[in-house]
Amino acid sequence: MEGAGRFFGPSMVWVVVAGVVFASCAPVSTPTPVPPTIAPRPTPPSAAPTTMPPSVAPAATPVIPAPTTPTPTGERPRYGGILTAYESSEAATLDPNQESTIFALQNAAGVFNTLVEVDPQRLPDRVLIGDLAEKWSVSQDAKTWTFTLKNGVTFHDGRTLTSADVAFTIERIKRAPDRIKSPLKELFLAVEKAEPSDAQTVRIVLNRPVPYFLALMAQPTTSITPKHILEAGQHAIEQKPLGSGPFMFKAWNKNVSIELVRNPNYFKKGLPYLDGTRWVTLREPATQLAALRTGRVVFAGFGTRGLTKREADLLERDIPGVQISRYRTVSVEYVLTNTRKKPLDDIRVRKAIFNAMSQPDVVTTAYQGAGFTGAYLPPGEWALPESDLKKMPPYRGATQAELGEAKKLLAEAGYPNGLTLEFLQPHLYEAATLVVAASLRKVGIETKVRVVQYPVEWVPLASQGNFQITIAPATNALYDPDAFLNNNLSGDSQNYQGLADPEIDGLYNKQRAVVDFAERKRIVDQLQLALWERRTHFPTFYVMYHHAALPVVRNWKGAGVLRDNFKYETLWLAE
Amino acid sequence: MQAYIVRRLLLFVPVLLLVSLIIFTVMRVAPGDVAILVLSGPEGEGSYSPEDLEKVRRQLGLDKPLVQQYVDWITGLVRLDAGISLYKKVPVMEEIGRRLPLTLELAVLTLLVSLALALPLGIISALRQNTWLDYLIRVVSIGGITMPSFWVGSLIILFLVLAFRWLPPMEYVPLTKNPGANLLQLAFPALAMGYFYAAVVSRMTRSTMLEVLRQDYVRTAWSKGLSERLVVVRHALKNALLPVITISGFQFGTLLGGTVIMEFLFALPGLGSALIDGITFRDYPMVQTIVLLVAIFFSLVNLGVDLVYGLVDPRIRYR
Repeated sequence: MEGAGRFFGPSMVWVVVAGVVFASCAPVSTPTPVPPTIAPRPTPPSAAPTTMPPSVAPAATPVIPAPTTPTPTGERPRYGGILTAYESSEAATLDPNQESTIFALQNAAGVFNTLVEVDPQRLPDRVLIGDLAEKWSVSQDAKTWTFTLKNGVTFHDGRTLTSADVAFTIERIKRAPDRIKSPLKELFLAVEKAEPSDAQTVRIVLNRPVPYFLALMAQPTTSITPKHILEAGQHAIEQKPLGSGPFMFKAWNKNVSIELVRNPNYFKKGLPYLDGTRWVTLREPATQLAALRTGRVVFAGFGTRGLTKREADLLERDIPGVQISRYRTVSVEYVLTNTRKKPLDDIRVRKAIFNAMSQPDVVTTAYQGAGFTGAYLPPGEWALPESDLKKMPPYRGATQAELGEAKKLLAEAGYPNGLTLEFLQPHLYEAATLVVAASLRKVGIETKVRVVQYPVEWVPLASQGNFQITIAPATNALYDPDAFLNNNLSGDSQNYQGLADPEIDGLYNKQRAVVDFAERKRIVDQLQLALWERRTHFPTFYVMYHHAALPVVRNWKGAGVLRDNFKYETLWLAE
Repeated sequence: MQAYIVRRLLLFVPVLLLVSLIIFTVMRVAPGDVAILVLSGPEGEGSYSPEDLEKVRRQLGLDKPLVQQYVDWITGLVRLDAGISLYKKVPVMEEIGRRLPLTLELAVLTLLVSLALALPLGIISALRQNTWLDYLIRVVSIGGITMPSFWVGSLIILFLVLAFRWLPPMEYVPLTKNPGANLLQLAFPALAMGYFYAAVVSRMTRSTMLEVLRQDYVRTAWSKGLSERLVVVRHALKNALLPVITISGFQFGTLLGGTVIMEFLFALPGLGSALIDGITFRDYPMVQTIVLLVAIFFSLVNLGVDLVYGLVDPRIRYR
């Protein structure tokens, strides 16, 4: 360092220092990053709506049993106690309208209410009941929803919650004013307006029928937020949320914990049972499990990282009475081909790829059997019939004849000796990549795997079509064809496979205008079969998540599809 | 001496400018688009249009020439304004201010643990060279060097859970708020990391002590009949300490940015995890500022080490 001083000389150093100080005194336009304003996307043209009395989709067929709960028959709820859990990451804000990530909604949801909610007492069946809404109705053309609110609902500062707050929230999500984020903005393009009829009644008018509208109103992201506070500043509840929910915000120790405390004036008399909740940020899986085993937390597996099957099995073995919930999520990973690039612009090559793939192999080999198989929509009321699924080799694993056919197809396409594809792998998806690569090898397709960070590197590469084959993770807002299949539309920003097919666009737009479940299901089945014919992508498998709760947690019915009820107002802790 | 200190402080400027330029360039060259992350979210779930992307880039200042972005950042730093975190959307200085005390405290505790272990072990090992005690200490030292500290940390947690069904507190409490809980939480990561650093320092102490113990003046001290304690502490140790001080200073510097795995394991919201998150999410202002801060501390520690030389060895004088 002494030598460096002689080299530079004291006068040189002073010149540099003076230059920096002088420059810093000059006015500069320091970039002030703010949440972006997203321009509204054009509403796709809809087919003429079917004017039939709307019917509600039947309750989801449970695909997994509810967790074994140790709650003895007739046990009375006990008041008191703090529910402690961990979260593997920390939210940027606690404003539910701006957040769609689990780690934000886990905390924020307890502070707010939605118009309707998934009945926590009937999970994992997803039955919608009123939360803020006393009752609701929909017009014959399924475009106008009228909600009547319950009486006596107040925000935590004592102000009464009225229809004006509901209308304000709907408009807020739709328009994302003042550069707030709005993850559901695209789904809310169908909302024409929301207007109070009187203090307890609000009308929401749609520009087309939306079959999943009621389910959308149960999402934590559509929590009703306080107009009287947000009118003054749209970012006002990001750090200190204020709602009408069973718990009030107490403290946010940044990067450490979020604490909520019981709302003594909650409009649902007698609830909640807990004195509060406490979410601790624990990032390391080993530490998370250690915290559960030592009782420092009573819930595990929530958030961005669910428990693995092995971890859940070990907990069941080691902790008597532990409750494990196994459930399906709205997240999926696709194997996706880039149809804009050779050789994947050739349907024969794509058919060969999807002949070779096997979802059962991925589930068994990569995820120890913890997963579900299915086509473009996961198991449940929207799944294809078994007879159709069995026609798709990835669903059940290929036969020898199909593997032979794949090799023939490659030869016809000009690759009699096989070919090599560049496999763009998002980090954290090694297991599925390895299994898929091994499957492709059976038909003579070798892969060169390139690992990139997801999403910061993967999304630009995928968007620009700089890949041949990849694993594409997708997190959908709802279990609904609109949410799961919109990435097949021409021009959609997540249409990485480059599909531009008028038939696909037409079927998608047709199904989204139909309210009758049976009719809509028929069109969605057609759409799924049409997608299969194109062979552009297919799910590797559907993730099975695991949650765990210690025996002290009572009245927990598990989860339905991950973003179900997070309010925990009906849970209690045993002595 | 004052002139020397002032000269050294002034030399920080070109060093830090160079570091700032390197880190700015590296972050910009790394693949990935932060604008996409802002729009699509950390789980990549949001969709957007090319127009949305351009709008966000303008709002974040990413459409400006790189030179302008660099100048804006540097001149902001002089006013102690490092900008807004692109990921967390809070002022970078505020976020760093929240995390820095923990990282500093952990680094100091780790250093104290390592010195408390290393110096006695190194001295004993040198004095009892080639005895079973020496061999034992050397084996333990090699164990510390070869076992990664995150592995030792995991073992500590496993041991506590299996043996005592107990974990240290998982919610960080500042030292000023509750010293007991704070030290209880930091003791275990300090121990895990301290073991690794102690292993290195004890090996260094042993070899420098062996060298010093062979000097004529030490033989003279033995011949005069002085006690072992006097010979070691008053005559030998001071001269053996110079390389130890150097390496300890270097270790302290690396601790400031190298505690991320311990932070994850023991749920500590320090600078390390902020740095990793910043790199993962291309949070340019956060990463650039933290790296610069580590460079500043490194430079200060080097200066401190040089000054301590002068205290330990009176032959060293600075002008």
